[in-house]
Amino acid sequence: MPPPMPRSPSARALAAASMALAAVGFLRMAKVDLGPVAAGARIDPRYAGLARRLPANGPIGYLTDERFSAPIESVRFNQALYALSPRLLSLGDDRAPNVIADLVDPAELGRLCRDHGLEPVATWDDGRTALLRPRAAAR
Amino acid sequence: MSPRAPLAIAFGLGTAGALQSALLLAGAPRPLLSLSFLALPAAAIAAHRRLGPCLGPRAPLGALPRGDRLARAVAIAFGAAALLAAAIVVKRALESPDGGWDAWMIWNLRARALLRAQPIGAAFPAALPQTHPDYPLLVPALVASGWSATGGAAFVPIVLSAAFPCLTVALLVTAVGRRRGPALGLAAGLCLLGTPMFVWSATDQGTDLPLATFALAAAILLSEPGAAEAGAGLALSGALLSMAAWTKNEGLLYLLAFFVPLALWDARRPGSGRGGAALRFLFGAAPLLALLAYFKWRLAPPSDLAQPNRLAQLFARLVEPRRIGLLALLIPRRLAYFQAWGLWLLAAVAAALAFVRGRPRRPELGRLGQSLVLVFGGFSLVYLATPYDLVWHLQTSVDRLLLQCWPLALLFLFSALSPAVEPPGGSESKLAREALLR
Repeated sequence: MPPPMPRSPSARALAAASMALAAVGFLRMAKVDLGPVAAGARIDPRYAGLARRLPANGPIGYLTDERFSAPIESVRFNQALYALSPRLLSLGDDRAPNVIADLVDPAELGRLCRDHGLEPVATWDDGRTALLRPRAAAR
Repeated sequence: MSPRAPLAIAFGLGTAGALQSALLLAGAPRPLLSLSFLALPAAAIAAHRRLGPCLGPRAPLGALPRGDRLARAVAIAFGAAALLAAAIVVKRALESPDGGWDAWMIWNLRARALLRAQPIGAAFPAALPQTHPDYPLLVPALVASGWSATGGAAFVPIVLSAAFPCLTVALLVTAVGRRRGPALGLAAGLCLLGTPMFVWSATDQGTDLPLATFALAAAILLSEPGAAEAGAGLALSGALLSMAAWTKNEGLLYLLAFFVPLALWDARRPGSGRGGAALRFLFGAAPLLALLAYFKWRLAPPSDLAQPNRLAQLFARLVEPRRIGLLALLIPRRLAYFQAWGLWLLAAVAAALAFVRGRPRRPELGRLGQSLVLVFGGFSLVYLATPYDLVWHLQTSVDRLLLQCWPLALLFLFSALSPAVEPPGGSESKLAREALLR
C-alpha cells in the first residue's frame, strides 16, 4: 500500500516539486550514462610485471613522457604510486638503482634511455612500461 | 518508519573502521584485523538498544485517503529512482573498477600502504604531498581490513563505496518519514536519488558520502525533539561526528559546527542540568578525537593547507577584497551548475528563502540550521585562506563539499517546510511539546 500523504498544501507542493526535480536529474543522468557498458581497464595489470621485479624498499626513480606542471596533475605517476604502493617513486630521478619508464608513447623509450644514460632491463605493455638501470649496471 | 536501524548500522560501520584504524596503526596481526569486523554488528546492536528513547514521536501511518494519487506517485517514483540509480551505479562501477581520481591517488593508496608499509610511518610519506598523507583513516582502514579478510578482492572498495549512499538514503527516508509521514520521507529520498552528483559519487570510492552519512546520522539525533535531554543520543551524536572527523579533515568542521550551537544552547538554558548536554556530546566524541590527535601529532605530516610559518600571508588572503569578491561570484555560479546538480541547488536555495521569510520557526530545527550556516562559513574561510589558486581549488572541490552538506540540507528543508504529522490522539506528545516550548 502506498504511504499516506499529508493533506497540507505545502507538503503536497514539496512532494510534487521533488518528483519534478528528480525527473530533471534523471534526464541529466540518462544523457551521460545511457549506452553500452564499456568495461574499464584496471590499473594494477599495467604495473604487475614491474611490481614483481622491483625491491620492496629503496629508492626508485620514475621517468615519463607525460606532460604536466605538478605531480598532482599526472595520471600515470599517481597510478604507478597506487599500483606499486608502498614503494616511494621519485619523479625525474635517473640516478636511483632502479628506474621506471612509464610512457604514453612507447617509441619514446629509446630517446629517454639515451638522454638519461639508462638501459632497459625489461619492458611490458608493448614498451609503455619498462624497468631501466644505469648502463653499466644493466649489463 | 524509523531511522533506528540505519542509525545503528552507521554507528557499527564507524566503530569497526575506528577499531581497524587503531589495529593497523598498532601493527596488529592480520587475523585480528579480520576478526575486527565483528565490531560492526556488536556496536550496531548495542546502539540499536540505546536509540529507542533518543528518537522523537513517530508520525502515524494512518490510512491512505482514497484517490490520493500524489502519494502513490511518490512511492512509484521512489522505487523507479532506486532501480535507475542502482543500474547507473553498477554500470559506472564496471567502467571504473578502481574508482575516481581521489580513490587511487589518496584513499585506496593509503589502504594499501596501511597493509604493506613497514614501519607503519612509511604509509604517510611527506615526500608525496599530492597523496595527502595527513588525511584521516576511517575509510582506508575499512578497505584495508576488507582486503586483508578477502585476499585483496577488488569488490571491497566498490561495495563499501555503494554502502554509504544506501545508508544515507535510508537515514533520510526514515528520519523524514518518522517526522513528516512516510510519503514525504520517500520524497526526501527521491531528492537524493535524483541528484546526479550523489548517484555518480556512489562509485567514486571517495570519502565524501561516508562523511555525509555520519554527519546526517548525528544531525538526525540532534534535531529530534527532546534530543538535548537524551544522554545516549548526545553521546552517540558526538561519536558519529568524531567518525566524520576520522573520515575527512572537514569532518572536524562538522563536529565543531554541531557542537557550538548545542553548547551555546546548553549554557543558556535554565535548570540544574546546564552544561550536561555539551559534556555528554564530548564524552561520545572523545575516544576518536584522541586517536585523531595521536595520528596528527605523531604520524601525519602537516596538511598542504596549513602553513603556520606564513600566518601573515594567511591573514592577508582572508581579508583580500579581490578574493572575497571572487568567492561571492563563484559560489552562486556553482549553484546553477546543471551538469552535476540538475536544478536541485537552485531549488534548495529558493526553498530555504521561503522558510526564512514565511515559515514559523521550529526550535528543534534551529540548531540544525545554525550548524549548516557554520559549515558553509567554515568552508568559505578555508577557500579564502587557501594557498592554492582560488578558482582551481574551488572548481576541483566545491561539488564534493556541497555533496557532504546535501543530505543535511534536505533533512532541514523537509523538516522545516512541511507540517509535522501529529501522533495518534491529535495532540503532540509531552516530549515534542516540551521541545517546541524551548
